Amino acid sequence: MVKLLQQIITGISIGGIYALLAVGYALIFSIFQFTNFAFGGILMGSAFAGYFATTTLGMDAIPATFVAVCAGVILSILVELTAYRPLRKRSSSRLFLMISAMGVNILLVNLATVTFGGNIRSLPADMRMDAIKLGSVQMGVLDLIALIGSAVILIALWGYLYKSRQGIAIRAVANDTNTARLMGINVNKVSLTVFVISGILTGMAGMFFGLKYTVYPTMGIISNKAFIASVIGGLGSLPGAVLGGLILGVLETLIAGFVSSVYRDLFSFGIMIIVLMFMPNGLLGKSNDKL
Amino acid sequence: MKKRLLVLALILAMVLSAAAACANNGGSGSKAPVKVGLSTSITGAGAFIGVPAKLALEDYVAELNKNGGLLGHPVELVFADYGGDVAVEAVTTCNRMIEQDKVISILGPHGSAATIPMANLVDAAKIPMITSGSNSKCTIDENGNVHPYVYRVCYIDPYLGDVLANYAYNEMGCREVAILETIGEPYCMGLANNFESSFTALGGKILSRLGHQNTDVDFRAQITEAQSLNVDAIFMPCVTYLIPSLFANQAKEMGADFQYIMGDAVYNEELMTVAGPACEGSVIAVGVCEDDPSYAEFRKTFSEKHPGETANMYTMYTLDAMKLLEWAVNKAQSVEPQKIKEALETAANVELFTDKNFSIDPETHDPLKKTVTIMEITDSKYEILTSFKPE
Repeated sequence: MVKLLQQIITGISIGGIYALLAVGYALIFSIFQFTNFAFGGILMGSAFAGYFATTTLGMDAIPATFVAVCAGVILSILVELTAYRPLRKRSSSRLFLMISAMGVNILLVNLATVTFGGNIRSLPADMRMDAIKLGSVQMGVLDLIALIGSAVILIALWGYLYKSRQGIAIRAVANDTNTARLMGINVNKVSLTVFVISGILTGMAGMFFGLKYTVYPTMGIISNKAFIASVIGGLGSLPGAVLGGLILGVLETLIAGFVSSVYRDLFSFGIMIIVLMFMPNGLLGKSNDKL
Repeated sequence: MKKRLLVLALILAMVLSAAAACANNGGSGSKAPVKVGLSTSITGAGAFIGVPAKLALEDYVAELNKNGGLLGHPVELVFADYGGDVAVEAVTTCNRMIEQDKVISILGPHGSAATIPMANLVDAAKIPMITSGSNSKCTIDENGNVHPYVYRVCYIDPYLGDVLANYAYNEMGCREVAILETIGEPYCMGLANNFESSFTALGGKILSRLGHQNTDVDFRAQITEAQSLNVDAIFMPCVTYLIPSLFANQAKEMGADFQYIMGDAVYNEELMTVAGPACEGSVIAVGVCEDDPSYAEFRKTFSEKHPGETANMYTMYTLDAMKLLEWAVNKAQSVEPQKIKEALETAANVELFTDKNFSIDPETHDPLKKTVTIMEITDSKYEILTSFKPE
């Protein structure tokens, strides 16, 4: 019983990480209908920024997170301006945007390997906080912060998208880019805003990842799981991304704990296929989409 | 149209400059240059293995070329990177080295997952390959016959698994152990199987084989499982130090106090920086002890010349492979691949970088009598406990 409870708690905290990343995927997908596979690379870039802020500049966790977020935003904007916008301008197929995103990801990972080396780096140990005990089960303080953090960011994002003028513009663009353009919305400005938001999320996730795990050039590979989570939840749906993340996290730990960790990925991909077979738009996605 | 021409011109310029760079590498020796390949992981998670190996080999070959190269032939190095998708890229780059570059020999790769698919290719092309970091039974094919062109300078899993199982059972007093296993990784699964058979033969029990994927970063599910089993120790035959360091740190955060037993691939100074305190009291078996004073000078010079890089076990194994090739060329008095292979068959008491008395078993192409050193992690440092030299 204790083991079950502990696995569920662990699952929720892993799911929280997936959720944070899945929201980033969902946001870009809902506007541009393509998957930003450069996400992993940007995540890694911000984690490295956070790492150098703490080790070289001797910053604490909170200012270092700010540096990581800035790096995430800068990288995200750079990628949008150099890799995506020129393609959109030519009205290229979305497939090319996706390929361009994959190219950017490979470029970033290899650039980091060449510049920083392939070694694993860890952020100062005192920044990794301890676990709190709830009866006989325990949860990492960092996980709790991530979970609460994801929830707060999500609520803030929801407020922004539904209550502010710019938010309404973003949703209008998501709904119908061409009509929104005709109505006088500056689509390029809106897309830049979306990439800034995505950069903030990625930067936070990168810093959190660096703290929780370690920093190394190929760390962005975890975003594959986040992609699955956002597909399960419904690509383009923000609450769907969170739900997908939590389901995937809990399912994976339960499978690993009670069946075998060998079959974990089989189940993760299996559930994705089953969801897509019966609900092609994911659990919370709608066929006409959006946000 | 203009733009298209510009792009074409740019691509052409890039290709030409790459070709020119290749042509310039020829050196000024009187004899035709010969090419030697190094297959390793220069990008990806294994870059900490491949990058220092490449740099050390370049330094060594520059020195060698100054002194006349191989029998007067300047040596050109060809690097093949399989960092992205090992099984696919190892094969593609191996074919390229054989067919396009016409290498006389291939050094590396640094991993069984790459060596196994490459073994058949080098056999077919009759190009000797000296692997410098593949521990599974990759010199032997699935029918139990030796791969005629595959040799190795590092030691093999059955022996390492046996030494570790004995040490765990007799010296550490372990009776119930769990194994952390990377699915689909030949080194890991080979070592895990060998450890399990030796350990159970002694009377010990393997309570669980905790599987995980190579790309996993979160091991809390496996840690919870191991905690509930109450194991004496966890055997980690992982391919790089990333997984053990993540596992140990996460276990420590969850309040678990495991003792770890590790294979040689995990051995790296960085493990101490990333997870030293979490690995306190763990035991690791290696073939080359990096802290050995006889390597201190080399490692210091290397780090000074290449800031940010450290020479590790694989760096030294790579130099072993190069020195073995050099010995074989000198013995054969030829740079013909076939003659080199014939010389390698007879390698006995050769002085290499890490082994002053290196011999090859012609039956298996494995090294004979390689010493295994067992170390313990104390105060985030590797402390030598004991050494085994087979009789």
